Amino acid sequence: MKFKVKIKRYNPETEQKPHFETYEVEADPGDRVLDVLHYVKWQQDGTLTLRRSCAHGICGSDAMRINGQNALACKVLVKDVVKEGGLLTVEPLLGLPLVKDLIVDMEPFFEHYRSVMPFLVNNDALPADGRERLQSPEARDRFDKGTWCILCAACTTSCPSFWGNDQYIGPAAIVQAHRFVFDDRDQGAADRLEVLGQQFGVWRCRTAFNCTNACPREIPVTQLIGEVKQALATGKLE
Amino acid sequence: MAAITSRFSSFVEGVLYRGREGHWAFIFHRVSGLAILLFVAIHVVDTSWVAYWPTSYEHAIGLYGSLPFLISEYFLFAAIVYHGINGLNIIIKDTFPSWWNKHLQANSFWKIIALSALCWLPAAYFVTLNIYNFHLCPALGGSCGGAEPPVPFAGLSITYLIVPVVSLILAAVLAYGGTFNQNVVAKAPRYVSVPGRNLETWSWLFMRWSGGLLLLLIWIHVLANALLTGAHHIDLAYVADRWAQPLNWGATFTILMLAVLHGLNGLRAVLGDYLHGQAANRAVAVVILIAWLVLTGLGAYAMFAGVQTA
Ligand code: HEM
Ligand code: HEM
Ligand code: FES
Repeated sequence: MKFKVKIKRYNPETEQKPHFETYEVEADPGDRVLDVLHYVKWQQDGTLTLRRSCAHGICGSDAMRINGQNALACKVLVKDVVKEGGLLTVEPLLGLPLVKDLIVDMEPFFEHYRSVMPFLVNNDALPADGRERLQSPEARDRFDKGTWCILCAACTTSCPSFWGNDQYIGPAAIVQAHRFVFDDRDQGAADRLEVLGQQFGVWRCRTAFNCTNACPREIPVTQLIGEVKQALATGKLE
Repeated sequence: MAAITSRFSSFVEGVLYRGREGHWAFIFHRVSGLAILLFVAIHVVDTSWVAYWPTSYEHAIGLYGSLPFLISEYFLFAAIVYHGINGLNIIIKDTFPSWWNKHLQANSFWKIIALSALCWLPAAYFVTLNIYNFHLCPALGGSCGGAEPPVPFAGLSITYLIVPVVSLILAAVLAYGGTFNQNVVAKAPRYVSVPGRNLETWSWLFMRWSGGLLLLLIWIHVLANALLTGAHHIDLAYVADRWAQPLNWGATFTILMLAVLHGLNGLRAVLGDYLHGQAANRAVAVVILIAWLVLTGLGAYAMFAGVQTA
């Protein structure tokens, strides 16, 4: 099928502001948006700059706005976003510094990620056999959804609170905190909740739900954030 | 390599973000909350005149009956019903976080819109009635019941109207418990030491408790004053009469205490989304605290002093 793709371009060396450029492309309905971007870059304009690695929805490097909504370019099929002769729009993520074309600076995002101590904290001696700390399947299940996260930033950059203020810790960091706070082997919950209870912590969430809709891994982000709020308000980890 | 960040452009482009029902619900909630706050701030000041400048009060309440104000009442009441019902949705789902799921959220948005429309229609009926009786009909030169508009349900106590409306809401809101707690696996709770409650934690809890309380109080207030009575029948004697009844006085006083703080604290939260840095946020908190003290002080003093007879 033939259609047009409109891509937001920005070259920091020659431009003050980003502009749009439109390309005529031909693709299979079953192709992914990433294939379309490859086609533009490889066949029409080699200067198009984007980030991608695995091309299979695992590495989390190609989150962007596709038709105005955050998604992974490697997971969205052409037939789901554009018709024959139609127009497909591709723009970089919102709320993070724009570096070039579709590439944003992820550092503010990872700074928030690190602030919740995304690693297991347990100061007890290792079990006698010196092997892993055992956990029941039910207890493992409790935080399973948080482990699906690939840190693509689609959720955080879809959040109105984050657009307004990048000091907001953002959905992804809260999901990562949830993954450890609700892990019964972990002992760092109090420290993480200290961070999350701050002025730019979890209370900035207004349940606008864009994060849940944007997550390419189907994580119920708003729900997990709600559970963290409840934990902070009640001190109970249910 | 120069990276550009523009908070302003991400705000503007954010408006165009293709969010879904949850995003719309959030935008409507914010806009309606701020609109009600604007109204309440003006309303508290002009109502307080009953104690300070009674003649100015009569002039102000005359404006409430003017055509532009009556027309804007359609929007005000839409904002009040929507914000209240959507606020209830937020409060309930925050209490049962597993209800914050994709299917329910899309679904409940439309239920909230439908329910808001349902509750707005009677209000719109009364507003239309007032517009007809006091503006349209006289302009057309008809003989219009003028001072005595035909009010349906006039003999009916307000409580009879409130009860079905509220049970309707509760029923509809509870109706989406279909996938109740599906995702909560661990049944035995663990406990964790949480940081002491700071301003943000208290503010989050306050928004929920005060919102829940205000829902009923404001609807009764609006029904009694604006709809069943109507601005054309409100004067100093009417206010004196309302404030002579302890129950009505208490209800209005509770609204005064909660609504102004709820609205101003909401405004603080909204501004905090766009202001960076401790200094700016602290300045906002101080200004808002002063605004709250002035507004509630003015209103409360009037309510204790009572209506001054002109
Ligand atoms: C009718 C009953 C009401 C209920 C049930 C209610 C409920 C709520 C809730 C739960 C929130 C928090 C939203 C969040 O954190 O995501 C909120 C925010 C807010 N409310 Fe209300 N409210 C009510 C009345 C009012 C009134 C009378 C005003 C104005 C004086 C008001 C103004 C606001 C504002 C400005 C916000 C902040 C919006 C935002 O953060 O985007 N509300 N309301
Ligand atoms: C157009 C609709 C409205 C009309 C005609 C109206 C009318 C009145 C009247 C007659 C009084 C004095 C008697 C009494 O206490 O009942 C009053 C007081 C008050 N109303 Fe309303 N009201 C309206 C809407 C609202 C709304 C939406 C709110 C809150 C969200 C509100 C909050 C208050 C408060 C706080 C007071 C006490 C003010 C003071 O002491 O200075 N009113 N209103
Ligand atoms: S390229 Fe790895 S997630 Fe899309």
